[in-house]
Amino acid sequence: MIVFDYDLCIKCEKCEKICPCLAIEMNEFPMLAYPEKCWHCCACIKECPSDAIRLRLPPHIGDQRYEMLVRDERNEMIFRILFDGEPVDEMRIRVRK
Amino acid sequence: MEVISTDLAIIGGGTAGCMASYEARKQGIDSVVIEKAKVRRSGCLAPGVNAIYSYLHDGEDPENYYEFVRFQGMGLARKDLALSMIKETPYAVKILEDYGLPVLYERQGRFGMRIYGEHIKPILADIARESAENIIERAYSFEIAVNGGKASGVYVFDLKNEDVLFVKAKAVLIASGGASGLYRNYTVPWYPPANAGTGYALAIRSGAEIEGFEFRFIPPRIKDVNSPIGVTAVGFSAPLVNSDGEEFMKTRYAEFGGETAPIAIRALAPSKEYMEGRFPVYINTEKITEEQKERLIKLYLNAWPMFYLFIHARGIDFAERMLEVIPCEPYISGSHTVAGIWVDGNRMTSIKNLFAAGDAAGGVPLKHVGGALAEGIIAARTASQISGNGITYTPEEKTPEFGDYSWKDAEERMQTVLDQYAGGISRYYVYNEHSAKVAVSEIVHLQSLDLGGRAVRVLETYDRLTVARVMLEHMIERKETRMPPFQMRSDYPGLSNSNYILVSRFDGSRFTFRRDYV
Repeated sequence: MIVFDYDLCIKCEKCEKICPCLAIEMNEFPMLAYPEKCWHCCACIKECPSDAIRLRLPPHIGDQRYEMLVRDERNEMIFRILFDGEPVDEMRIRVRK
Repeated sequence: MEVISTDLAIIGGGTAGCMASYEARKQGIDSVVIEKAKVRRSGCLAPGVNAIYSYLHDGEDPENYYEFVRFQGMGLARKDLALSMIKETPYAVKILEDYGLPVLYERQGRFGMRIYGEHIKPILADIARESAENIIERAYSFEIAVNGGKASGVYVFDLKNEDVLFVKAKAVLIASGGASGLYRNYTVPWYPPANAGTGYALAIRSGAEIEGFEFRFIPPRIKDVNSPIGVTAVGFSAPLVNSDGEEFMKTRYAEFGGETAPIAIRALAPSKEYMEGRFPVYINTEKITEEQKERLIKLYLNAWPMFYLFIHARGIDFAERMLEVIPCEPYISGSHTVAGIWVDGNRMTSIKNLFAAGDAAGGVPLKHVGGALAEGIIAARTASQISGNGITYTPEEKTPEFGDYSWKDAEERMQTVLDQYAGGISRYYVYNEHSAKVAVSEIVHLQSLDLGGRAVRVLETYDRLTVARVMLEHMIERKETRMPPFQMRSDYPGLSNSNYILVSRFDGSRFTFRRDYV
C-alpha cells in the first residue's frame, strides 16, 4: 500500500492524475480512496515531486517499518529503502538512453 | 453530445494502442487514443518490464516461434497469428529504441530481448503524443457503434465532467488489455486492477466472436509479493523444490518437460505440492552469487519494484532463505493464453472494421509485450487500407445508467462466487458442470442489479460481470480437462489432447459456439 506524508505534500495532484487504476482521489490532500485497486506499481511515487509518497508492503505480507521511496531523475531512477524513516539501502537503474 | 471524427479510434493507450497510433500516422491516417487513466503510466507496463518477450532474434526462424508457443499452449495456438506477429517485433522494438528505450541486444530466454524497461511506458506515451491527432484521457469507452455490420465509432464516458462523447471513426481498435479482478485475490494482484476486461465486454456486447475464454491464466509467482519467477527460474536456472527438498518438476513432471514444461504445468505442479501437503514450495536460489543477486534485483526494479522492498522487509538473503513460489488467482488475458477477442490475420474481429490487438486479442499463448506491440502495428496497417470517405452513422443520445446498489458489494460477491464455484484458489482451480452453473446464476443475478457509486468503478464492475459470464459459458461448453489448471474439471478429469479452441458469440440473449481447429 502507499502512505502519504502530508507535511511534504504540495497538493500538486500529480499522483491522482498518474494512477493507472484511478485509486487515488483528492480531498484537501490526496488519499488512497480505493486501496483494493492499488497495484503497488509505484507510478505515483515516481511521479511525486516532493518525496511525499512511500510504498509499504500490505500488512499481511511483511514488516511495516520498511518503506520504499523512488525518485525519477529523468535518465536514472533511484530506489531507496527506509527503516523507521532512515535510509538503509539504495539502488539506481538507467531508464533512458 | 460532442462528436470527434477520425480515421482510427484506439481504445486503450497501452502497449498495443500507442504502437497502433505510431503506425497509423506512418500509413497516413489520423488516430484518436481513448484512455481511462493517463497514457504516461497506464496499463500493464506502468511499473516497467525487463525484457520484450516474443522477439524474433537475428537468424531465428518465425516457424520456431510458432513451435514454441504451440508447446507453451499445450498444442493450442493459431499459426497464422503467431507467424505474422513475431515477424513485426524487430520493427516495433527499433521504434522504441529510436525514442530512447535502452535495448541490450541480449537474449532473455530464446525469444526474449533484454531491455532497461522501467521507462517503457513514458516512452510509449511520447510515441503516442507525437503520433495521434488527439489523446482523450480519463475517458471510459462504453459502447461500440455498429452500423450495417460495420464498426463506426465508439461512445465514451468522460470521467472528468461526466459527459458522453462520440468518437466517429472508419475503424475502431480495441486495445484495452485483459481482465483482472474477476476472482478473489490472496495478495496484490498479478495483473493491473485497472484492466477490467472492458475491451472484451465491448466486443461481447456488440456481438463479436470471443475465443478460448475457458483458458484462464494462472501464473506461478513469488509468494506474497506476486512478482514474476521467470526472471529467476529462466535467467538464473533456479529449480523449484518442495518442503522435502525434492526438485518436483524433474521427478514428477518429466513427461511435460520438467523445469521448462509449458506454463500451465508450471502452475499446476506447485499447486499440487500445496494440495498434497509438501509446502512451502521454493525456487532454489542458493547458488546465486552476490553479483548475480544485484543483477537480479535490478531486473526486478525494471519491472516489479515492490520486490526490492519485499526482500528487505522479509529479510530474504537468497543463500539462506529462498523465495517461495505459489500460483495466484486466475485472470483472462490474451497475453498469456489464447483467450481473447477472435481476430483474423489482419487483426480484424468478426465485425467489419472492428479490430483487436494485444491482450484484448486471442489466439496466441505467451504473446507478451512483443506480441502486443506487433499486433497494434498490424491492426493499424490494415485499418489504413479501409477505403471510403466519411461515415454516414449518426450517433444516438446515450448515457450509462447508474443505480444505487454498491458496485463494491457486487464486486465482492462476484469475486467470491468465481473463487468458490468457478475454480479459484480456494478450490485449487477445479470446477465442474454443476458448480459452474451455480456461478452463472449468481453472475446473472448480479448483472440484473442497478449498480451505483463512482462512475469508473460501476462501469468496470459491469464489464467484469460481462466477461465472467462468457468465461463461465466457455468453461461449461468445454466438456473435458484440456489444460490444467487453466481449464480443469472434476467431472471430466482425464487430460485430453483435443485440437480446437472454442469460439463463442452472444446475440444479447443466447450463446452459440463453434470450434476453431488448430
